[in-house]
Amino acid sequence: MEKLKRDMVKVDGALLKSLIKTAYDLQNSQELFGISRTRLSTCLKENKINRKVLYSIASKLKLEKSIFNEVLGVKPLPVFFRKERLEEPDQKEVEKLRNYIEPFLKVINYKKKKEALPIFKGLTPDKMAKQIRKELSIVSRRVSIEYVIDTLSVFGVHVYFCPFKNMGINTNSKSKKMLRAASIPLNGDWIILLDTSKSLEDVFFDLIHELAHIFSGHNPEEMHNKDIEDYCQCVAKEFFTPTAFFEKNIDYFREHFEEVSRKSQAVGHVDKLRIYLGASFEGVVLKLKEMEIISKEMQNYLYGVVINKKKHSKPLDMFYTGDWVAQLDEEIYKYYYKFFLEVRYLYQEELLTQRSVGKLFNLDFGESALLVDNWYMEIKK
Amino acid sequence: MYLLSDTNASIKFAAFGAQVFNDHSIMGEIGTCDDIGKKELKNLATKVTGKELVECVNCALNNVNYCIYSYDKYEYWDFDANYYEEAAEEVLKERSLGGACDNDKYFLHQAITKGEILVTNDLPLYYLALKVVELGECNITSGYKVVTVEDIVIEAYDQGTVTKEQVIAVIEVWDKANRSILKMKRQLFIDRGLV
Repeated sequence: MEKLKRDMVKVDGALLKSLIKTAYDLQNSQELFGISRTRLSTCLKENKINRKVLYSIASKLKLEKSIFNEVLGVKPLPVFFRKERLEEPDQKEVEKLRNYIEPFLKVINYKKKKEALPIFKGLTPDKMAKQIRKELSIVSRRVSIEYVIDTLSVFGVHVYFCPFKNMGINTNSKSKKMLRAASIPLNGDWIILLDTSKSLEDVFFDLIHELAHIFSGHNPEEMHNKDIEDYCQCVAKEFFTPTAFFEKNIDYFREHFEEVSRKSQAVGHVDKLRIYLGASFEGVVLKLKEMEIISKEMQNYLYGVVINKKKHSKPLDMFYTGDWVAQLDEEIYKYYYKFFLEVRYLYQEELLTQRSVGKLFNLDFGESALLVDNWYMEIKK
Repeated sequence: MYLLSDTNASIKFAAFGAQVFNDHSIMGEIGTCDDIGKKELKNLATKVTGKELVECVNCALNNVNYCIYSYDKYEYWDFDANYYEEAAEEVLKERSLGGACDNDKYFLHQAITKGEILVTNDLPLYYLALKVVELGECNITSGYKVVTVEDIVIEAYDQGTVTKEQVIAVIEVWDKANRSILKMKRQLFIDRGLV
């Protein structure tokens, strides 16, 4: 009896029916799925179906895992994804990331956070940026990402650098729909994964964008419309290049940029501002344009510099090349390798399997076997 | 008797040699079975212990007759693996063990549908498999066994298939390969005066 119960599973009958109808005629159900049309209709109406029949239907329809789970009423892991150019990311990539990270999230056990995470609703972007600075006790204009990462852990926000490309995600370099970051709510805590295919400034910007979502209390289970994404983008811009700062000094800046005898001198001015604010070169140029501090001609010139700088800037992926796994314990890389250090710890504590480790490090059998073998040696020492 | 060995258990399994392979047909992941896998395992054995373990690995591999794809080859979603969601949730609740990924579940599914014994030393997978069997979340014949390599050694010792000296020799090889006895199985060895 117990077994029979297990053989019947709850499904979203209406969804399954619509999926079947897109490809097949229900009249052929006996031939296709081994169940009569009448019986199938009853099952769909009652929202329960024999497991084997469900698998047969799913196989015929070649359902993706995410759709299959939707039919079963299994909610996907709630994740905020930050996307390239705010475009919707490739669903397969999203699923891959969810799939990779889930075992890690199930076994990671963080220390209790010291302070509750504050939520601020209805603030304008500039006020939200100020609030984030205040909450994180940032007193100077320029702040390091390491400081922000450490301070966030007090609130139970755990930030990790992740080379998505190395992990088999974002492998299509021509796609404009790259995943840049992911924020995942976890029992009152937050996990933020930052893709490392960009420069440190860009990755830092992504982090503040994600924080804007979290501090604003945006619901991760709802789709984020353009307004929400634009808001978080504005918060990040205000964090690094505050409008108030430029307004206060607008006359001085205009004069300064108008006075340059050679355009290359303007590059020096932008650089000084960039260093003072801890912003990216591109971010400062965008703000100077937005505030109408620089002429059209100067804008075009500085954009050229931005493109050139981008071509030559080194992405954080450089930390994940060569034999980087052997350097996990190097103190200077501790922020970059934090995620993988925790994976190692979880494996050594026998909480993760070698297959899970292999996935997260994107290693094949031989490589992952050698890796965990080295980890065994470390335990013995 | 079909016994399906987890790649992760290979070093320990190999060290136990022919003693358990005589009356079993072994299946394993491609990591331990196909040409690339054999080479990898041999390299690993050479790297960690030298000649002694290589001999054990050769002995083990000569007895492997079947294989399934290794986890890096089955990167696709298998509907049957969804069988084990309920067991996964219970293991997480009872033991805080949730580190088995979809590929583990797929491997487990292969083990259950193709063999009679699953050998694994990955604890999250071990407990998941035990729970799957307990809940009957699968079409298994009665008497399906989920074991660690330690269980096989103890069973062989209890049945008199291997002597105390042979077991101690096996543990020495494990030691050289930086493998220790699983904490949860250690008491079994202590009770029998094997460590």
